[in-house]
Amino acid sequence: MKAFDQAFKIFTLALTVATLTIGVGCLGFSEPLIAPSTVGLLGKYLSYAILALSIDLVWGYMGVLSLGHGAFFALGGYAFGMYLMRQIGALGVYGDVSRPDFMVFIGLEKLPWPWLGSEYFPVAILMTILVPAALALAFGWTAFRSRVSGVYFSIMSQALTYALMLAFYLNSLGFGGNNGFTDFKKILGFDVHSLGITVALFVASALVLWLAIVACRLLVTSRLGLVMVAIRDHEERVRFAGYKVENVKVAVFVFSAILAGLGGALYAPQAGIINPSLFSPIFSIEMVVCVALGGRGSLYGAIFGAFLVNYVKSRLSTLAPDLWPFILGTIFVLVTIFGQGGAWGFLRRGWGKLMGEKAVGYEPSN
Amino acid sequence: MNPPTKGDWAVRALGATSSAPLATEDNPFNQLVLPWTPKALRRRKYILLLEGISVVFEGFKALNNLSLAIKEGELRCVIGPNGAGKTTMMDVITGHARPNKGEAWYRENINLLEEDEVFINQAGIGRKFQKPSVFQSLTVGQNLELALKGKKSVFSTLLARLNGEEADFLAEILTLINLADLRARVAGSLSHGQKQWLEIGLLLAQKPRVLLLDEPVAGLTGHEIDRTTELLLSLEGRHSLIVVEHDMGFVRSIARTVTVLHQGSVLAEGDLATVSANPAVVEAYLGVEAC
Amino acid sequence: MVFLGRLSIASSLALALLTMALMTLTWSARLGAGDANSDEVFSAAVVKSLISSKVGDRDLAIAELGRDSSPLAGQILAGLLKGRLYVDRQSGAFYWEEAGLKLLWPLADGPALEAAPTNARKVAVNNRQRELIEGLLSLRALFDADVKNRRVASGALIGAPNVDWAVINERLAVETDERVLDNLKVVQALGSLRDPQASAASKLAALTELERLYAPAAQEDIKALAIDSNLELAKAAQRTLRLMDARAQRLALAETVFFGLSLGSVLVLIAIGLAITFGVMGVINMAHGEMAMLGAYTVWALQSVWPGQPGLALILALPTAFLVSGMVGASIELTVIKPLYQRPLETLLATFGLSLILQQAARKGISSMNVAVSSPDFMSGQWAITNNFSVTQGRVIIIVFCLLVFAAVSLILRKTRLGLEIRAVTQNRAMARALGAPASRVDTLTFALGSGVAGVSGVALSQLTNVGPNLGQDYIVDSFMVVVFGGVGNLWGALVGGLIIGVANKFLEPVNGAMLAKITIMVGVILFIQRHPKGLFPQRGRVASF
Repeated sequence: MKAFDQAFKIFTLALTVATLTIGVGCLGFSEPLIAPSTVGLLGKYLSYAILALSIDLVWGYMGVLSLGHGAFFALGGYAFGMYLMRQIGALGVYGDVSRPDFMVFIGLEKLPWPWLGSEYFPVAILMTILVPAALALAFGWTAFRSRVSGVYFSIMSQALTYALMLAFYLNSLGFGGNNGFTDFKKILGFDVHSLGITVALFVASALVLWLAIVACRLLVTSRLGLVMVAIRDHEERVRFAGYKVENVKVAVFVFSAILAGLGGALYAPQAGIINPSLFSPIFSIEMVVCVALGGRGSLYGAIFGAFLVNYVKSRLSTLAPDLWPFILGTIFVLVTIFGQGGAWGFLRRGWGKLMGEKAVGYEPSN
Repeated sequence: MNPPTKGDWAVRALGATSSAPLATEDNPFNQLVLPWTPKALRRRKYILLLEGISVVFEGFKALNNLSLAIKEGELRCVIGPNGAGKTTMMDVITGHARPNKGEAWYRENINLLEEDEVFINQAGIGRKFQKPSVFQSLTVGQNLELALKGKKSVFSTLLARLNGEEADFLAEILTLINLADLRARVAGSLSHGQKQWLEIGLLLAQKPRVLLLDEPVAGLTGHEIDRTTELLLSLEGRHSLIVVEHDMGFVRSIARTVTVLHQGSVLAEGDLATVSANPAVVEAYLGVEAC
Repeated sequence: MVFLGRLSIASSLALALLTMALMTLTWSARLGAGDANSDEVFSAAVVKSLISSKVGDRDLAIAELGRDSSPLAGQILAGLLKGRLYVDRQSGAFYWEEAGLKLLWPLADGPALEAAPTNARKVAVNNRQRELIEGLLSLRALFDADVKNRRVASGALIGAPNVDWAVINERLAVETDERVLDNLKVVQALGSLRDPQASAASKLAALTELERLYAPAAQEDIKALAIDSNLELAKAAQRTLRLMDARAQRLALAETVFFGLSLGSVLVLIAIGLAITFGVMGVINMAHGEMAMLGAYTVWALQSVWPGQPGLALILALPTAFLVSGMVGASIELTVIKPLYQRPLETLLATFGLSLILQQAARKGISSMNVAVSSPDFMSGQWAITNNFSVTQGRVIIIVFCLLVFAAVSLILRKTRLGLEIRAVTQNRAMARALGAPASRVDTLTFALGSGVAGVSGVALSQLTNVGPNLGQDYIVDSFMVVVFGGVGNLWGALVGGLIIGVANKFLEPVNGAMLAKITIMVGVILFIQRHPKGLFPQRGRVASF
């Protein structure tokens, strides 16, 4: 099948090797060879990679630049974070079984309705998928149907995530306000900080990323994938080829939002915190730049970019935190001016036909 | 009527789309739906009928009481100086622009003014843009594949696979538009003329009944123009064609009936000799050139 | 205990009576003296009694000073009240404390003394005397030559207890200023409402007067009257209350609209610059907010250069900020934006990177904290439109300034050579170039113009909000909303859109709080754009797609 080409095989192999190394390295010895904090960090990168993948799908392939994809990621994180908050139970500071600490603190007597059923794991997973999907459906449907596209769409999506950020900062919304959710204790009854769970979360992230790649590869190599690229190249022509462009855009956008939400759900327990800063436009734009740096229009490039940017970021934030905004800003400028195809494109050009991923490189369309 | 010289794909294309039942004198039941009013009778005679169309942009009348009637299988050339309203006319037919006044009917029972671009396209009206518009980063084969007639909902597109019959059909089109060897080439790397053909190929893959071609030979070499002429003439009779063109040599070589647009309405209509002898037409063209 | 309580009530009553009596005494004396002797200067005896050991003497001296209409007497009273008055017990000379002691009397405004005279000591007053002086001063202010002081003084009398009717009547007879007259009439009407001896007819007349003049301070008294046993009176009072409520609502409405306009004009100021770069050129400049930030920092820099002249620095900051931001804008255009024309999404990302760099540069180069920018007097003063409705001058100035900038930019675009070239290049780049418009230079200048206008808006912002590295970020999303809402490429859209968003914001704020108001506006604009993708004022043309 053309979806599973050589690049896919190499990617699968690399991911398997990484997962096995970490699994064996952590659990196979009496004293873990790899620090659990490193595993957590790598798991966090994996969740970013899923978000980058989802951005690349709509931007790289379909030409729809969403500056608010972080909102779906954050919503997924919050949906799953609610479950984690409920798992704290009586272990909280106030020891109140029925409500999380922050509700006791701000004097909320009863769980607000969105928390209904959040104590059940399957419900949490379901909400992780449904909430971002519902927002993407509502926003995408109204935007694409009235043919809001290009820069307009970008600005609107940015405003969306900005509005959500303001909303989540409100204590009265019942999602922890400024501090969000943190101090998670348990997941499925197990200690969230235990080595086993840390590794399990990493493995889950790797698995979700792998499944996401499979799904995205199947999508972009299908005829719908051709239509997506065609929309990027010449939206009007696609309409005159008999496709309802709006429907295609909405469908892909919703799928992408679900991916982003799953990424967020994996992020919450591994980062140990979820707060409104994930809704800030800058987070979303940073992730867009990961995609641009890695190489838009190439799924592996997006993953590569997410790892690269976030690795440099966490290295620098300990070494020279003041320098990071300068470097990030410079990356923005250089990548957009010189970096057509991104780092991945560069690597591929150098690597030649070894990878053989046959697809759709970026070409500016006028 | 030219015989099918390039294989029988065109016959199949025609057969596949014209089988939709329309009310005829032999089919009395459809009369219940479509009454025998003079208007309806008139619609029945033509595959495409525009009556009294006016389009106003910010006080500027792009189309002014324009009427046009196209028969099944007809090849019609539409000429006119710049700003005569040719492109706007195509916009109206394809549902891209909404007129302020008038009626537009396709196949007697489809009101073009109430449908969107996608429906109109699916119903069998294909359009080639003025600027060659193909999907730059897809290959020639992929371009044609996504244009193929068929169910085009999101879900069926996701699951669509090229079957044998469709593959044969694509191969025929590729031969016809002279791009058989370039199937795997990325469309963005084609020459200007090849892009024009590929776009015509995109239309043919949709098996349309009416083809609107906006300047199909603009920027082509003499040899390429000859090939395009040949191609269009082979389509006549199986599809209704409306060709908008400036190149009078090309028009002369393909035209049966010519419609001259001027300032948004029809100035003259008839065969090329009659039309070009019309003093009003001469004045319209000279008047523009004199500017 | 009870006894003590009684005693204190009795004593305070007695004191109040005494105060009243003294004030009346002084003012009757004044009436007798008339205006002929308005510049009389008190005698040395008065001064002596001011430092007498007997309270009664001191009271009388204060009363005497109150009777005196010379400015010096007023200054001495004020000095007493503020504790700035010193007296030399031997010579009887008064000193005024202000950066050292100044000889005040008998030699009027003397030179500042290096060291305080050994015998000088502060003239102390007790609380009751303080009250007395306050009353005297406010009555004095009623006769001040400056109409502003009279307005304040007359306003302060509304609802005050123990009003001296004789003085009010005296002032009423000679006063010419409408607002002072209105205030005094309110004082009078309120007096008759409170007067248990006043007839029903005079109370009715007072109600009518209060209704006409609208005095929110009288509300409590009218409420009391609304349940009066006299039905006619009660009815009239209820009517007055209703009318006053309606009036209060109208005033609140006017105030909300005004606040909305002032917020809106700030948005408009930023959006005008955006309308040029985004609307006219199609370039998304995410660093636009930072151009405004540069303008605000310019104000801070100039004010640091001239610490004593905040107003001058502010005015000079306008052209300076325009130049600074304009030049930064031009260099951004030349280096980053030129390679990215026709690729709006990439421009967006690149300029976002620039905004990060500029913010961080401000954080590292200046401070990560907000810097202090002061408002000159003409920006911070209040401007009373009526007795009950006043607005901050600064806000009015910014609204007017916004309109001026709007007019200037429209003029530049419409009437100048640059404007002509800008419009030509935007409409048809190739054709404009063929006709001799230097497209590349025009792009640079247009971008510089947009950035310069942003810088100027930053100067205005410095007067309304904190100046710091985050200033641009706080406004960029809103101002993009304004441009998109108004219609891209249309200055009128930016103006109307900004004002509508500003006013709507202020109307929503009391309903559901500032944060929710902002969210509501955002969601509202998002929904509006879905219905009208081209905004309030769509750009003309056959195909308007981005």
